[in-house]
This record gives sequence, C-alpha cells and structure tokens, in this order.
Amino acid sequence: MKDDIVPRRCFGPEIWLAGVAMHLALLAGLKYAPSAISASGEPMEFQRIMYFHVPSAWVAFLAFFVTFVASIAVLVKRSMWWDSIATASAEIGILFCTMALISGSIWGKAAWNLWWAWDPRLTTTFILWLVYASYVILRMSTPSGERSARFGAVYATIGFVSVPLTYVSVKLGAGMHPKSAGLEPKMLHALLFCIGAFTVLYFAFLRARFRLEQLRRAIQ
Amino acid sequence: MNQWAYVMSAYILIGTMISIYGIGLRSRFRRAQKAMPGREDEADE
Repeated sequence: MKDDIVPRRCFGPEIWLAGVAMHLALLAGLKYAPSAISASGEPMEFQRIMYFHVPSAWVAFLAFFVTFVASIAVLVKRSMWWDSIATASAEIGILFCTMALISGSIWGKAAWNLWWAWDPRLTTTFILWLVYASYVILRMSTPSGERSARFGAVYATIGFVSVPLTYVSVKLGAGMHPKSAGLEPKMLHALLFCIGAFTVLYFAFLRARFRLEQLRRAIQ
Repeated sequence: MNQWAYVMSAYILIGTMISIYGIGLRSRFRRAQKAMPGREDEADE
C-alpha cells in the first residue's frame, strides 16, 4: 500500500507552527492587548476571555462549513476521501464549539453573574453543538461504508442550517450576548492574531484526524 | 472572584482541552497503527 493512503505519522510539521502560534496567542491575549475599560472607567480584565472565545467559535463555524462542503462532495462524487474530511472536521468542530460554550459561560459569570442564560445566541449555539454531537455519535456507532457515508452526508447537509442560524441569532431579538462593537487597534490585532493561531491549529488537527481516518479505513 | 481568575480559568480550560484532544488523537493513531496487519513494529515517532 502506498504511504499516502496508509499514513505513518499522526502529526505533520504544521503542529509545531500551531504550537508556536498558540503560545504567541496566549501572550497576545494576556499581555499585548490592553485592558478593556467600562463606561465608569473601571478595567474589565475578564474581557480577555474574548481572545480565546471568539476564535473558538470561529473555528467551530469553519469546521462545520468544511463538513458541509465535504458532505456535498460525498453526495456528488460518492468519494470516501471526502467522507474522511467530513468526519474529521465535525469532530474537531465539536471540540472548538465546546470550548466556545465553556469560555462563554465563564465570561457570562464574570460579566452577568450568570453561568448560563437562554439567550438566542447561547441557545442556538447549544443546538448547533447537539446537532454535530449527534452527527459524530452517529458516525461512530455505524459501520463505515458508502451507505453510512451517504446517510451522514445528508444529515450534515441538513444540519448545516444551524450554523447560519447561530451566526445571525445575535441580531434576532433583544439578546444578552454582546454584538460586535468597534475595538481599539491593539485589541483588534490581538483578536485577529488569535483567530489566525486557532485556524492554524484547526488545520493541523484536521490533517492528523484525517490521517487517523485513512488508517482506520485501511485496516477495515 | 477576581477578574483574572475568570480569565485564567478560561485559558487553562481551553489549553487543557486542546492538549487532551491532541494527545488522544496521537494515542488513537498509534493504536490503529498497531492494529494494522504487518505494521506492528512501526510505531509513530
């Protein structure tokens, strides 16, 4: 068998790039970015959670979008290669969506003195998490094959509706979740850097998880 | 609770989740590699 079909290493060199980028992201969020100041002039250090919360949510959306595109490719091309991408990306999306929910909950406790509120954005994000957690459990519990891949692809294509719904939910109704506001240049730089670092980490994980899927399929 | 405690809790939790997922991924890969017929001797570096 060719090595590109049966991979020999889990992580590629990009994991080192991701590791360095994540450490720099930590510095950007904790040191480089200035403290946010409230209307009364008080520093709001808890806003630094945003530098890891927003990138986690962004990567979750990206991962579910990749699953959606790969699922359409499965239905059109009937390719198991794309099914491996869809499965791998959904699993990583769940990880980042969980991180966004947990960091958001900690932010909520600091800002609103509430761990959770049934706000439109929080509720739709939780539904999004349930949709893709079901997808991952479904794929893990069914034997891999073309039939399972097609069924999973149909589910993921329909389930993707929850992604734009979550994205626009902040604009629906009078929710508590903060709407995107203008940031100071240094804060914006730090946020954009963190988004970049998380995106590099996503692709490093996606490649490794894809390799694992290829290996599993080679065994079967 | 100190504001920095919330920030550090969030960062540490996220860092821990990322690390656990990465280690788990590597471990799953190695297990799958060992299950591969004829490749038992080739461990992941």
